[in-house]
Amino acid sequence: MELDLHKKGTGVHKNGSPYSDKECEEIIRKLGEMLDGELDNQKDPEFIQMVESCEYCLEQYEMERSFRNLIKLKIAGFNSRVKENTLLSSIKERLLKLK
Amino acid sequence: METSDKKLDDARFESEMLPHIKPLYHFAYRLTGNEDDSNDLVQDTYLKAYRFFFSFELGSNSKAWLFRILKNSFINNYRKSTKEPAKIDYEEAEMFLQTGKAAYSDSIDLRDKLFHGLVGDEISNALNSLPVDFKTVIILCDIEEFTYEEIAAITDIPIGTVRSRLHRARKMLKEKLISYAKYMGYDTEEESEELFENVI
Repeated sequence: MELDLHKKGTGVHKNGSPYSDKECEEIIRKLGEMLDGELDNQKDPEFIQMVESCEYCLEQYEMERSFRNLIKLKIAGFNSRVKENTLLSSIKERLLKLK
Repeated sequence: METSDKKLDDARFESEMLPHIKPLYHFAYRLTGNEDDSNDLVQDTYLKAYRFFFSFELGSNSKAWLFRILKNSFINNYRKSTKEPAKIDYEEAEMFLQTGKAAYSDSIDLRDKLFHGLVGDEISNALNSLPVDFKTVIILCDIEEFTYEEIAAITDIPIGTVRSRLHRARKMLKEKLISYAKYMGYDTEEESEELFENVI
């Protein structure tokens, strides 16, 4: 995983972060998976504490969360043009011929 | 006896599979870009699913199963006849990522301004313009909320590739949205707030 201004292994710390770039990168990666529903870190107080003490990670987390919500909300709202009943009846009609 | 088994199977098929018609259509529409092809693709998907229903394991994820059939049908039948390149040029995609690298300040811009400024069709167009393998993972993960494991099964790629492809796809989409917002000049708080109000 690559983050824009992170230089791996340099030990550089972002503003508002007590962690090295590499550590931040790992935290953000885990947060991303958590947002995708892949990890349950609710039960990992140590991890939550790590996140909470890093402004940079929190900022990135908030960004990723907003981005995912945006996609979901705006795209889903844009999705509703399907003529469901017409499509459903032609499928049923074609299935009947197969039966 | 055989007839009643068949009837039972048919009833199972209808109750398991038909409720997924809407998300399938939306996925088809994202892939083909037009209503007629989407309708055909969804119909083909259901006919194939019906034929192969014996291979569907009852109790497993029927939505993921249908999405996989649809995706494969699209690749086999539709992609050939559309302008979509048959194979994704990953090098080109990589080049795009390298040259269009967003600075951290751009990321902040993205959240503060663009997230509030862009409307559905702009985001929709940006998503549509991504190469098909990239938009597919975004649709499956962010819109349809499949797990990484299900996405891997639908797209026939290893789970590690799902992770990296999702990362790349989101990055590409952000880049497109940033350049779009800049092009549109969404650059003041007032403007973005105004636009946000319009969207809500």
